[in-house]
Order: sequence, then structure tokens, then C-alpha cells
Amino acid sequence: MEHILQMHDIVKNYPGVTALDHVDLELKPGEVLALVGENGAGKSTLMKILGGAETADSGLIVIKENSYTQYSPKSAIDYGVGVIYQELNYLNDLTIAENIFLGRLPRKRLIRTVDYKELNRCSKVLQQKVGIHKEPTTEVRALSVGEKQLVEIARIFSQDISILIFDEPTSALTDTETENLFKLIRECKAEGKSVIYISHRLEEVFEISDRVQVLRDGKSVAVLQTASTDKKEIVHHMVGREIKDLYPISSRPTGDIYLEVRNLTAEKARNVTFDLHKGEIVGLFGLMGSGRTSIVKALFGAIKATSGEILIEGKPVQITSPESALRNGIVYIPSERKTEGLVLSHTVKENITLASLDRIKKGLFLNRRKESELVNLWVDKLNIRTPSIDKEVKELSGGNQQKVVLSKYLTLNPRVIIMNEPTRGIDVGAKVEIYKIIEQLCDQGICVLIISSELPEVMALSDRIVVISNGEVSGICERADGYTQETLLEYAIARME
Amino acid sequence: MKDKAMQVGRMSLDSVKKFRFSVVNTQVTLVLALVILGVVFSTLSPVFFSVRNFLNVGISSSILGIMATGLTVAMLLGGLDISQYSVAAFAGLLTAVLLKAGSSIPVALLAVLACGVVLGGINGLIITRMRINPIITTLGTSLIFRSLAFIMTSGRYIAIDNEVMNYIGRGYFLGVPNAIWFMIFVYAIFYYMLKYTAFGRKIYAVGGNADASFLSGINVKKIRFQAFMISGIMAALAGLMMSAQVSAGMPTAGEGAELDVIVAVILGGISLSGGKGKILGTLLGVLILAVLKNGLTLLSVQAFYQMLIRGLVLILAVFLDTLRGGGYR
Repeated sequence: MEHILQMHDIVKNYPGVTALDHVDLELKPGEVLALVGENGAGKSTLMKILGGAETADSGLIVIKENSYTQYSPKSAIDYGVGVIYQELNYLNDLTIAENIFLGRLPRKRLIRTVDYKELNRCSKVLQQKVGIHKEPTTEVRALSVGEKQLVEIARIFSQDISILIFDEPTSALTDTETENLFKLIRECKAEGKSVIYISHRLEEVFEISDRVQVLRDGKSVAVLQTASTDKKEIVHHMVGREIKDLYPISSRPTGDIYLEVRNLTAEKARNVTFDLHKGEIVGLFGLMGSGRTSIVKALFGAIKATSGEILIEGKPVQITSPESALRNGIVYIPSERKTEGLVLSHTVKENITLASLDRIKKGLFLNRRKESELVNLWVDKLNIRTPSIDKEVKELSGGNQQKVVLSKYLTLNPRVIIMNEPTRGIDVGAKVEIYKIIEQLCDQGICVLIISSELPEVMALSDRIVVISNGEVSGICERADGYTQETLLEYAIARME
Repeated sequence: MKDKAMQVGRMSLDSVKKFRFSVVNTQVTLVLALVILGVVFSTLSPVFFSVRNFLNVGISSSILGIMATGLTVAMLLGGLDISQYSVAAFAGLLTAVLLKAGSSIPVALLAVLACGVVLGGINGLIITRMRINPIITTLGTSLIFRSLAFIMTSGRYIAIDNEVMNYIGRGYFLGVPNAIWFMIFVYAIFYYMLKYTAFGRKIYAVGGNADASFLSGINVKKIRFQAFMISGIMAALAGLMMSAQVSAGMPTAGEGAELDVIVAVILGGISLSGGKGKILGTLLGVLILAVLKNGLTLLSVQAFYQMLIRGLVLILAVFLDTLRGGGYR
């Protein structure tokens, strides 16, 4: 058996996006394969298909010489495929041991009740292996995110698994935990088990993998031997295009300082200080959980800032709620379009005017003509493709939904726009449209603050990049000095303990 | 007797199938259900189809109807208010006590309003400030408010002997009972408020997605607070109407009927998860319940069976909500 796993010609389409475009993947016994690519390249989708959580539109999976076209997560385990997903699945109210052995709790012989003694004994053995130094009877609620991740890993290890898949396992782990995980992976390798390892961190890829496969825009673009490649080659394959083509934004002169954030401190944000100039795009970059969303939510008044100051044109302003932020001309375009941006069951019109209802009042009642005019204006301006402004917004495509969210806030004529992942989950065409809108806004002297976890995007758009690590500003880079992914990532992990 | 009850039951089951097919338009299905009930009762009872009986239905539905407007607002926000009948009993009793003590009618009316504002406000404060689930909050306050009503008069009824109150509860204007006029007036106000004001739009938005509303600069807590206050005010006004109709304030008023108003509102198509539904639906839900009760009484169906049918209607109402996609998963 040369290959323990082969994935042939996997295709997966989501409405409006081709997530996987005829992807092949092979894995030998005892091999560690690193899977890399930008966000949205299709890594996670490919692994979800392998784990049975998603079904491919077409393609074939061969595991240990048995071929399958589709199967359930449960049969994936039976075939020896164990996935540790990015989004963790654990039950907070159960103990570590119960979580690890969920669904397979040992029973007492006669009365068939759970044998807790045996359960906790088995759990302890496994915990030692993966490095959870807590009693098996501890509730998972009390664990750190990293430890919860380890519980997940222990659960997979407790089963008879020959193909282990880690989807960015280290983003929440500390250095010691990461080291321990690598030790574990090497042990698996020695036992002849195979591992697929997804990570953004190229250092890790070089440390742990035998081969590297690069995905880009749903296609497999390169398979390389780790020993005979370098970071530069991998990044080249990951990005694979002249960035300027995709980002129609050029650097332009910016105006005076408009907004100053001074020592802003909130939950998960400490002493954050930066400025926004008129007409400037500033990128706020940081890894997941770095506190970047807390910073902008505190700036927008959506979470409470415990200390710090916000100045507009040199004058301090009080921002205690989104209401007061909007009054001061600051808008926040949330990252979660469906849960934070839109009232899905309401119409395009109702969504667009949601933030400006009080401005289209005439006496007691809404001025319905003015409302329709306003909505039609923005539907035209942003080219929102909808059959009618009375269509329910949930029936629109992702890109158009994002434009609805944008116009909701643009109707307020903001001076400062904070965008959290403005292009997440929308197709390339719509992305370019959004970038063009952003550039137009800057031309009008509006300040734009962008959070994005796509490094190429941040690098191409931003005039300045503020890097956040563990809730603090760990570095500020100017476009004039040139950005490199390495420097930015270095800053991003600078304050991690 | 039993046969007739069975027939009624079967008819409403038939209409379930129709509901399923035209779930898209709640209003139309509700009107249809109302017509079907009307036809059934007209065939079975000679008295049913008459102006006088219709006015009766109107009068008897007014208390439920007035209360249901307030509950509709609370439920559009994804909340629930179980304390309404307790507020109503308290307000009705307060009216009686004040009038007996020699207060003038305007003072008594103001007291009723204040009572709604304060009791509804208490619900609102507990829900928004102490952040307790609305169902639990109003379950608690329903006991507290009713207890306060009992304490107010040591559990006694207080009779009302007042011309104006009689006119409010049982008087006629242009040949139509005042109770019905009042209900029409209330529904017109709520119709415009929910459909054509910024406040109404905000209620739907908060019910549809509170997070998105908050990030759109809507003061979600304020809207929730105001909604429960409105629910309290409407309950207090219903209490006034109740005491005016029976010419007495009773601490026990509405005991055992607490769920009727919820049944009516859900039947009217207000989603249990909030954000969806129309006030006209609520009116239709109220009328359906009133017609059902009236028709069954005319057919001399015993109270025991009526309870059974009301229970079935409740299940049916919630089932309809799940068909509309707001169900319990």
C-alpha cells in the first residue's frame, strides 16, 4: 500500500464561490503533509470533506484502498480519519474525561451505568500523552482555549485513527503546548500514522512536515518536498499573482490627523494608541484572538472601554455606545454579515435604513418617499443587484449582502469607517468592487480602518499597518518602508506568551 | 351534544391542511379559518349568525384584544409577558378602590395608566437591567402583582357604581358597543405605530436581530424596556375595561385565563422567536378565539370540552409557528 489516502478530482461549489476546483491530494503512511494557502484557498473545505462534515460535488476518496464518494463524520472515524477542526466541539458542562470519551463511555459490567473509575483512569493516561495537566473530573468550562484544543486532540487519539488532520491547531496554543503537540505528531509518525497539518505559520511547516501542498483559490498549485524548498517559494505559490491586479488601490496623499486613539483599554485590549489621517486606509492586523476585534468594538462603543481617550480633530469625544459613535461619525461594519450586519428576514430597504430611521422621520411617522429615494440612491451607487428593494435580504448573494451592510452605514455620511473583514466569504469580483468603494471613500477624505486576516489584502490596501499582538500594539509599519509578510507576522506573534 | 363538538374538532383539523398550503400568507389563512368557523357555527346554531351575537363576540373579545396588542409588541421583540392578567386585575381593582374612595373619573383613569407604566416598567427593568429572561421575569411578577392585588383589598371584591364606568364597559355609540370602538381605536394606533413609525421599525429590527440592531445604533435595552411598558399599559387598560364590564374590581380577575392572550397572539402569526408578524394577525387571532368560545357556548358545549378545544387550539397555534419556521429545535 503506497498511499494510505488519495483524494481525486475533488470539486465543491458554494453559491457564488468555487471552493475546490478539481483538487488532488495524496498521503503516504507515516508521512506528515502540510497544507498551506491563504484564507479562503479551500484548505478547511477539503479537510471537512475528508472528515465527512461536507460532501464533495464530485470526486473520489480512496482510504486504505477502499474508495468512497461520500460518507458521514461517524464513518470517517470508522475509516480511521480523525479531524481536529478549527471550530472546537466540546461540551462546557461536562468533565475532561467525559468530553474525551463522549459516546464511548466505559460501562459497568452488570448494571450498565457509567464506570467513572475506569473512565477517569483512561482519561488520565491520555491526558498525560497530550499534556493536559488537570484532573479528569475538571469541567471543560474551566480550561483555557489551548487546553480545550488538547481535549479535542485527546478525543481523536483515544480512537483507532490512522489519518490525523489538524486544522490550524496552534493558533490557540502556548509555546510549550505547541512543542508537546509536535512531539505527539512525531510519535504518531513513528507509529506509522499519517498526519495532514494545516497552518499559516510557515516556520511550523518546516519544523514538522515532510511534504507541502499549496492551495490557492480552490486549486492545488504546488506539491513540494519540504527539505528541498524554502519559505519564499511557498509564499510565491500561495500568493501566485501580482497583488496590484487584484487590489485596484494606489497610494495617495493623505490629510491631517482626524481621529486619535489614546491608551484605549478594554477586555482583551491594552493601552492601544494609533492615529487615523483623513483619506487614509489603516490596516489593523493580528492573529485570531489577538484582540483586534475588541479594539475596534471598544472604539465603536459596542463593548466597554475601561480607560483611554478618543479624540476627533484634537477634541476628546465620549463614546459609550454604538449610538454615540454614530453621532460622532464613526461607523463599524461588522465581520459577521449574517449575525451582526443584517436582519435577514427583513427587506433590503428596511436593512439599509435601519441605522438612519431617526433621520427620515417626518413628525411622528417615517417619510416613506424619502426612505425609498435614499434606498434607491444607495442601491444605484453601490450597484446592489436585487430585483427590488422590497426583497428579503437573505435572498441576496454574499457580495450584495455586504453592500447592503455598507450602504446602511454610508447613509449616515460617516467620517470614520471601521471595516472588520470586509471581504470575508465573497467572490473575487465583489471583492474588487468593495475595494473600489473603499478607495472612493478615501478620496472624499474619510478615514478607513480595516481589519483583515488576509495578509495580502491588508498589505495591498493599507497606507499604514498597526499590528496587534495579545491585545497590544506590537508594531506600526508604513507603506513607504515596504511591508513583508515576515515582519508583520513577527510583530503579530511578538507578545504571545 | 358530543357529536357536535366532534364535528367542530374535525372541521378545525381540516383547516390545518389548508393552513399548511398557504402558510405564505398568514392573514388570508386566518380570515379563511374565521369564515370556516362562522359557517360551521351558523349551520349548527340558529342564533350565531346575527348582528346581536356578533356584537357580543366583539364585546367579549375586547379585553383579550386590548391586552393582545401589548403582548404583540413584547413578542415581536422575542419576549413574552405572562403577567398581563395580573396587571389587569391590579389595575381594575385599583380603579374600583379609587372610585369607592371618591376619586373622580379622570383621576382613576390616570391611575390606571400610571399603574400600567409602573408595573410594565418593573418588568422592563428586571428584563433589561437584571437581564432575566422575560418568561421567568413575568412569571415571577405575575405572582407578585396578583398578590399585591389581593393585599390591596384583603382579597375582597369592590363593586363599582359609576355612570361613566358603565358607559365605558356597556354603553353604545352609533349603535356599536364602546368596547368595540375602543378596540378598533387601539388596533388603529398599533397598526400605524408598528408599520409607519421609526419606533415600530426598531421593534421589528430588534426582534429580528438584536446584535445587528445594536450595532446599527439602536438602543436595544430602551426598546425592550419600552415594549414591556407598552405591554403593561395595554394590560392595565384591559383591566379598566374588565372592571367596567362587570362593574367590580376583582383580585381574581382573569385567573386561569392567563394563557388565552398568548394563544391569540401566536395564532395571529406573531413568531415566538420575534421579528415577524402583523398586528392585524393578532386581531384575527383574538377574533378566532372569541368566535370559538361564543360558538361553543351557543352550542352548549360544556366548559370541560371547551377547555379541551382551547388546549388543542394552543397546540395548533404553536404548530403553525413551527410551519412558519420559528419553531423549537
